Amino acid sequence: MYAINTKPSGPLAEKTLLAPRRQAASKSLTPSSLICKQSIRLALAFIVTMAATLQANLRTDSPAPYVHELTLYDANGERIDHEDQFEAQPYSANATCRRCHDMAHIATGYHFNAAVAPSDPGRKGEPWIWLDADTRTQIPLSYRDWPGAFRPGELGITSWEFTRRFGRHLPGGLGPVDDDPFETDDPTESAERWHISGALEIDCLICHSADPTYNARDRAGQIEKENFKWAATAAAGLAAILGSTQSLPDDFDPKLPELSGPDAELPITRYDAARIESNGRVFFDIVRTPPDDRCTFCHSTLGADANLPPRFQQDRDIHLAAGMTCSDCHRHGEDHNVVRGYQGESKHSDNPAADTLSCSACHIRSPGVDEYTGRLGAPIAEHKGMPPIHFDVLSCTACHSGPSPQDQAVGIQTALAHTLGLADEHRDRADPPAIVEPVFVQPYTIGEEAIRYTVSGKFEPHRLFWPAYWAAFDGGTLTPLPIATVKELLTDILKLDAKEQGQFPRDWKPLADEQIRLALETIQPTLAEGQTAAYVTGGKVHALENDQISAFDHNQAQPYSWPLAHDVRGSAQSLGARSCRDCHALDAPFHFGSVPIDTTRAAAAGAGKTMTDFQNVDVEYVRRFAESFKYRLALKILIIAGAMVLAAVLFLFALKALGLIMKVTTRNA
Amino acid sequence: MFTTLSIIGLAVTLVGIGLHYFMVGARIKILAGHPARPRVLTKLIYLATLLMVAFLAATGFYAVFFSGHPLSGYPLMLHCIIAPAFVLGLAALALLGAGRCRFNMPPVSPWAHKLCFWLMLILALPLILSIALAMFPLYGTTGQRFLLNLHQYSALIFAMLVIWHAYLLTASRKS
Repeated sequence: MYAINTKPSGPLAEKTLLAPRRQAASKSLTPSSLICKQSIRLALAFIVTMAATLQANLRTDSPAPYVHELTLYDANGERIDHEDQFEAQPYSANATCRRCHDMAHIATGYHFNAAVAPSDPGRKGEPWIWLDADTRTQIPLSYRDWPGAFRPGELGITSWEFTRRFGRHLPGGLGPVDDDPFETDDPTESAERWHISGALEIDCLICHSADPTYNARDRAGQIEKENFKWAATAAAGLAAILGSTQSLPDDFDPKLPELSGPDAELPITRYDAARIESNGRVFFDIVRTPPDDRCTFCHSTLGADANLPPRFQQDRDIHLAAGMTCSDCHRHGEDHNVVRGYQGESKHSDNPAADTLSCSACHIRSPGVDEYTGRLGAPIAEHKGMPPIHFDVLSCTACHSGPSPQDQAVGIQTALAHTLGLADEHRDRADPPAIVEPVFVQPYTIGEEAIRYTVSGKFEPHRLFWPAYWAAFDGGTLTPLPIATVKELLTDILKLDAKEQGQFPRDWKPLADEQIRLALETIQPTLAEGQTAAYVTGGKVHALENDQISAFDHNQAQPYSWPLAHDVRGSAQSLGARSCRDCHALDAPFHFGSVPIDTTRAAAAGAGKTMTDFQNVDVEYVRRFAESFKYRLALKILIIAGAMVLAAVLFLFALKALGLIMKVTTRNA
Repeated sequence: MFTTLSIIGLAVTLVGIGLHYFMVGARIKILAGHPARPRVLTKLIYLATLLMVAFLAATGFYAVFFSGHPLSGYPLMLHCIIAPAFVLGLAALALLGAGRCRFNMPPVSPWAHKLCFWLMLILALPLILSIALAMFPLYGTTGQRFLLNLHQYSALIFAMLVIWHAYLLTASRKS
């Protein structure tokens, strides 16, 4: 498990001794000059420490923005010498920002705490999808204990490898503390490269920079080069980063680089003099409330269906169109424990605003629980004509979120899964993994095992994808095989021929049965006794039985799905706004829409499921109930006509009774 | 709350009928007079409507007493199928029986019987209209819950009246 990259706030205390620096070849140094330089540096460090102590926890308590003109510090907590063209270190957000902000506290926030045990995983969310075209693997990963997702360590993926693959869309908080060699008892972890790449610290600017030149793509580029420590500096545009740690050997020692050869050196950081003010400080355009564009870099989607209109023809989330920002709902304090906004979140989150920033808190007026109803101008939902039972079985998002349901769930790409936001000339709408939405899911449990999972216990619209991975099956449980092992065993068997490359998106060619059979035969000898080689794809487990591929169902082969909440449609576009037959009809997508099965097995291509396969309903009843709505108008006419006859009889005889009473009273008078 | 009231209401009805039969039943025989026999058609409509009421009450109160959930599934579907037929039957009975049940006419049937009849017709209006109006986009969630409660409580009282009416009809026939 990787460690959270933080240091306690307050004065620098950990390192005041400087590591030996590689000296430029042109400089000649004597021991006395070395001692003198070290003394000066020690003195400067002491002064800086004292200054930091005085600066710590400065507050303005004003909503007006604070102008951040900051002295930059590196990961060791030392002030950066911007003018040093060879030895200058990249700036550390942790070391720089912690002079005023409690970074340790911030690091416990939801964006950063995935691997911190025992954090409550909360509602199931989008996983990281490890994609490997050579072995046709697409497997959901998460450090949170979400049903259906695997911890990276289960597949032999170290936190370093995880960072390298997914750091592009992670805000940071990965890697060792204090730049010390990574120490862990976890046998799946490795300290091999952290001391070279540095840690991927929490980059405060990835959210809080209002500077339009902040470039998350530059950050991703540095991460791809394994320059984790340099990523934040590059993204902020503070310096040019020359070189890459990718080429450095695993045994490279930053303190003794010459041992790895004359060309082995860490990347060089060349600060842009124009960014450095005359007092040696740097101006950061920092805002308390992140601009929406910062959020959308990681939290955006793109319709992948060929029939979908282009983005400019699609409407934004109704909240954004109404002038709200992401942060109006997704709020937090300094702890960065962001509100996710789902019903029942307060059971999983310490954020006191968790339940006050949900759909119902703002839009539903409930007796005794309406303190926040209508906040920020939220229209009060009346749901005219909607029988209340709908609110017992449907989440708000079921009717109001995501694209309008079509006959078939549509393809969607996400920033996390498809690297949206990073320029790539090979982008294709058919790029794997194939994620579809909306799939209306109802929770389903067998005993204690949640086969389908929703936090609300109600129908929810989900995004869904079909994992594909190689595993060992012991007759009851599927255990995914380590990615490295699978690559080593199967790449030569499954990789595309040279002439096939480029013909399939990301070289994602479906597998022939013969290839699957050969792969399973290759894996089998490496497994323990009692285990059978298996390949999970398209919702089924494939194993060899009498030398033939046998496909069968298994709970662990179920697709992975997670609730969606955006984009929210306006009330006039919600399900049921037109009529009950939006859902209660034989051709209504809610129950009878199709969900394509994404399988890497060529022989099973084109298969699909119905929405009811993901719902805990009696399909025959749903059909008959939907069919009965054809007669709803006749029902209304009949009962109203009958009521009118009754009313007429009552009225007539009431008049007669009144007449009789008047006659009697007149006679008596 | 409604479950408790339903149990109390139905229990009171049944107990009341029992007491009435043993204490007052003989007098009905004396006072019944000579009721003009209703036509066969009226009898058939009455019987059919009574059966429909029994079915609607069974499906409706089953959800209240046993399932603990709002009426749903096949019981709901059947409840909605039978309901319009019940309404039409009740309307027919109103047309056919209103004249016989006027209070200023000779007592072809006991006063209680007539009173039950008219109270049933009066209660049928909120019983029917509460659901009819709920099917139109007129009322929001609060209004929908009110209409549902109205339907439930009017159904309870209606059921109690139907039981009384059926008892009184049976008692007068025995005479």
